[in-house]
Amino acid sequence: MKDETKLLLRYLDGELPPAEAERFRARLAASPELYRELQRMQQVGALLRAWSKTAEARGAELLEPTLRRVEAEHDAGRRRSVYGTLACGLALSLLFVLRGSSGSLAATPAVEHLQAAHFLGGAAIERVEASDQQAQVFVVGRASTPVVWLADDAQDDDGPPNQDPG
Amino acid sequence: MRPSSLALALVASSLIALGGQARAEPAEPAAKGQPLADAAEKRETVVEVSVLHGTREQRDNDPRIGPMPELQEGPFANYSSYALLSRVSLTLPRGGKRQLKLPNGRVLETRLKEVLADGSLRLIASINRPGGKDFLPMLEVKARPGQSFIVAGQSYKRGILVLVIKVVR
Repeated sequence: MKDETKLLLRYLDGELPPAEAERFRARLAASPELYRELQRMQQVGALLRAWSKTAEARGAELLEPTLRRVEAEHDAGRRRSVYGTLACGLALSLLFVLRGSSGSLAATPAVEHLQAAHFLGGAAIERVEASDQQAQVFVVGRASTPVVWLADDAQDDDGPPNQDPG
Repeated sequence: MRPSSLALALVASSLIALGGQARAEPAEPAAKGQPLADAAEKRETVVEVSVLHGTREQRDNDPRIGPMPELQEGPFANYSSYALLSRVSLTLPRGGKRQLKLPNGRVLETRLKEVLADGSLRLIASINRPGGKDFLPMLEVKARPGQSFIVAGQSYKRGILVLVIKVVR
């Protein structure tokens, strides 16, 4: 994970010391790109929190759908290679992580720790290489259909970029 | 059927199945998860790509999409309606690529990497704009016939594109 991304996550989590947070706010004000990244993370965080509440309310259906955000790892070519594990057990444990993560996505486990590549019910995303945009991998539905959701920086012909997954 | 008859029938059908497999694969049977180098691998693989457009317009989903409860869940539920823009079947020879131009100008490329012994397929997909910045350089998926995976999030006309890629056979 990029240092900048880590900083963003810590900032969203309120983990930065006041002086460091102040410096980071100054950087945010000076960098539209960094601010956009912050907005994206806030949107995704809100989505995760909303969905985890929904899943909690669904009681017995907690297992599925399960949301999984996959952190991307930059390599030298600015591509992010993601090896996704969406085994049901792990997904369930992630749900608990998400449910406990009321502030941000920082509690999401690092993707490089994930090994398996099978869904119990549906297809399996085995590898994702995204560009420098944010990528999420999760499953939906009773069939555990895997989804790769990518934030899109591209401009529409007739509207602003739609980066909002939530 | 009595239990003993059932057991006999199971054994018999297993022997028949094993016999058939031995004829198809004279060499060592492929282990689960390994590539299958026999006729099954040479069969045509067909994937169906449905291109949906999710918007916040308050209207019913396009009935041509068919039942798709996934659209009511997670981030999909944040879009009020979905329209089917296109649905095409792509035949994939092993190792061969098929391209599909998307409404936003990007190109979805799908490739069959291998057929596994358990009947599942390993597919490679990418979405890029010719001459432009990469969007999804590589996605590797393992799926059985009948299973789907979804790539979503591309901006398109005040909404998003949702690509539902289903392995037909």
